[in-house]
Amino acid sequence: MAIKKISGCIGCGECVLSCPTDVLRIGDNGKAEICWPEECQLCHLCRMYCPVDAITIDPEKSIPVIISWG
Amino acid sequence: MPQTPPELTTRDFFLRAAAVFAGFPVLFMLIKGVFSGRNAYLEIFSLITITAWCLVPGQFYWFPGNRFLPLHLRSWTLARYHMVIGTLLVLLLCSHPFLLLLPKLFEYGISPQEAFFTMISTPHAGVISGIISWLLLATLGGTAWFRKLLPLRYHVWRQLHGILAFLVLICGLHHVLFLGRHITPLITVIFILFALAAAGMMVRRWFDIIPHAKPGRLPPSEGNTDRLKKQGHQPEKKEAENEF
Amino acid sequence: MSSEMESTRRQFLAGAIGIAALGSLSLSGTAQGEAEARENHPQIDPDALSTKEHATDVLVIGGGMAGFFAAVKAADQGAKVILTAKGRLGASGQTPWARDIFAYYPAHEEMSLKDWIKAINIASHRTSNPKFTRQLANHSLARVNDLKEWGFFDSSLYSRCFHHQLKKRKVETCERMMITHLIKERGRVIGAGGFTLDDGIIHFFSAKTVVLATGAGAFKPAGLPVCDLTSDGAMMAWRIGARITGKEWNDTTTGLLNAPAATWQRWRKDLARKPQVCGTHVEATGDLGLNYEVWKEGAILPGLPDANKEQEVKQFPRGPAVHPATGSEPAETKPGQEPKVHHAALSTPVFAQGLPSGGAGAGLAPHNSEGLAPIDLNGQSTIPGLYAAGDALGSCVTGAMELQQGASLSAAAVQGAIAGAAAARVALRQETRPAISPDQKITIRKEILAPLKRNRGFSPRWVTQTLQGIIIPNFILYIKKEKMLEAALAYVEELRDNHQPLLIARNIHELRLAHETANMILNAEMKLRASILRRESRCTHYRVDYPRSNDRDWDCWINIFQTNDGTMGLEIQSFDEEPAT
Repeated sequence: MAIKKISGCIGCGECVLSCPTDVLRIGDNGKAEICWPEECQLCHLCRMYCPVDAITIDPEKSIPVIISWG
Repeated sequence: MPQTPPELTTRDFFLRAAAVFAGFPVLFMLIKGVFSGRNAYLEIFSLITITAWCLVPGQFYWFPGNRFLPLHLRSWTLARYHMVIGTLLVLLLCSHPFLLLLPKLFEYGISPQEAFFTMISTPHAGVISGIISWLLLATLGGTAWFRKLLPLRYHVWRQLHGILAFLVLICGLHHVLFLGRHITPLITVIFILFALAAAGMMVRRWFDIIPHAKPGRLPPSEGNTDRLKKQGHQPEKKEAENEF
Repeated sequence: MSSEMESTRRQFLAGAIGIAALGSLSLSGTAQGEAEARENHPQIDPDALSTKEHATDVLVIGGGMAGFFAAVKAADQGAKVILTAKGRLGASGQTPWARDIFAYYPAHEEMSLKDWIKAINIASHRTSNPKFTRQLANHSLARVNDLKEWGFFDSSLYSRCFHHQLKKRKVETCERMMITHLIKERGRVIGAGGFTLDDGIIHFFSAKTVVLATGAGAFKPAGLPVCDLTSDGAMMAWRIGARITGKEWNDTTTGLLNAPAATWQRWRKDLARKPQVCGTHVEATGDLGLNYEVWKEGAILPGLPDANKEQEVKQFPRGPAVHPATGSEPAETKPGQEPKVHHAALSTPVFAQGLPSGGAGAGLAPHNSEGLAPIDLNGQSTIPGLYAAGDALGSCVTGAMELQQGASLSAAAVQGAIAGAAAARVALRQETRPAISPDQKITIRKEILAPLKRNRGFSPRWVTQTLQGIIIPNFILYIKKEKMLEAALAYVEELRDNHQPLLIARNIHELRLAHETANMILNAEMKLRASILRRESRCTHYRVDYPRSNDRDWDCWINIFQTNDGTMGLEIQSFDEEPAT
């Protein structure tokens, strides 16, 4: 599921800015929303930049992953 | 020989009341299935903060002048509980924005200072109400601890205390509902009900409305319950439980 | 995947008593197979998006270590600088994951500079460019000292430190902006165009010189945080005529078998710390041994008694050489020299917790080995006014291998600083700034917004997945043979000719994906063509049909350029030959 949920968001926008793959946006309620979890590369930058530890991330990905072998 | 119901002591009363108010958060967190993903410190921190918040309406219930309470309860003991819990609440709730940042000291992410600055400079309604609640709460705590130093007469101070408490409740509720990370529709409803009940008690005390005042009860004044106790008034257990 | 399937099946069984299963089944159906071609219903009005223009002396594209230093040093020269980044300054591409930075301490190093350069050159099968290796050693300490002074080593997140220095130098920073076009006029680069990810405003930058610090590129692989690196810089430079080098090399980074996408789980031991400086230590990592073993014997399965298995893997003769099967070990040093080339443990990834799976680095080349072909040590590309630095520059500091810990970050800093200063000097000498013609602006705007305006077409996500399926498998990109490469190329050409022109987007996010997909298709074509051309095995390029290195014919780099009819041309540049311009 990649980036799983955001709870306790204060709407500072740090995660939106720091996501390299543009997964998040600030929604109408002024809080960050997970818009395109398919793009999440599980890099945890959003979590590291979040001032209030609002983000939880799952090690699995929501879409099938193509790898060389496995 | 009819069994006389055991008398509810102030301590018993307080423990039960606190269990009702503080028991909810634990229940919610268990229902909601927390402890998933975040580290143990943050989960425990959340639990403590939620407990603290849930005890806030409790403070409106077990303040000494609340005439919902069984009349035999010893007012000064109750006052002491009110004060101890109040102190604890103020300390916990005032420190929670800082405690939240504590893990950042040990993680290689942004520093606690950066996180704090980002936090307070975010123009989100929930953040603003949080800052206001923090200031109100700090004032509430300060004026309570240093009441003796203030040039205020007791009943003026009591009114001030009440108003501040009421404002903390409103602002705090806004903050909790907008930013609380464990907020679900059910918890929203319960928190609003808690707050309404607290506000109800406040308003009732304020306008001196006693919906089911018993004849023979004395007008509100300091220590009336003690006096009643001295007069040998024995409230029935049933009644006590109902009001509980 | 399998657990997903299972849960669907369970849901189906449970659904026998309810209608819930119907819903979940149809939902998983749409999620799994996004329609190949479909109608486009844009959520925004592309014609309403406004255009903004900027003018500057030096435009730096990319917000990593190279871009940061380019901007700093260009501004220090007195030039007006604008820096754009697709993500956040210091927090996109590979920059946030770089933890070690190499510095050559002349006084303390065990290895003399000459020996070190030689060791790298030998270990990399002469694919390294000793001039750039020397440049790295000479400048690395100064850059590390700069960074020390600026507090870079105090935090594992670099954004704040970078921002502070750029702000001090009044460098305008445009974050979350994707540059899609470089603009050329009369043989010179005169600017760039792109769009912002938040509001979709089209931006044009007219600049006297441009520094590309856009990093390398991969195919959005799982398990490595490089999904924003799609070779944008090199591809847009190629489109205006720059030469691109090093596309046949491959990074062999592995992921975790049990959770291939789990970047953090794979790397966190390394990532959850502050950056640090490291000295010379030539170590050959990232060779193709494991890829070959898996190709021969199958994937390592969880649950097998793999302790023994790992031992076997380690017993493969290996090295920076071609390949285990050839048995060649060219990195041996002479008896008198210190044996400085170490061979890294082969099987398990250094920081991994679990069995490895392949393809985490799919499509990347080893650091600094692919990118714009330089014509001088300033990082000047074959197009006047266009510079490149860091992973965007094919400087071959350590050749087509990962040989020196921390060299990539250090090279980005060193080359960024040099390219930035050179670009600023040229810009300041040049009096006029050629304006971007209105016609060019209209064309570029049209090209940028085209995916939003198409009525029907292919979703970029689907095209990307198809491309990944073609290019990522072990038997295409790593264990190469002509027939498979040709077959893959045929697929990629199909995507290029019939899918790329029909990419659609419904919003700005998908617009970005569409442009990235186009870049990845072009990059895939380059990788395949260069791989077909190099009929030998060397470093991280292994051909089953040509398993030995052929120093007589292939002591050369392969450069890719655009021919007059717009197709891909390839040329070879001997290791000791000056580059063609």
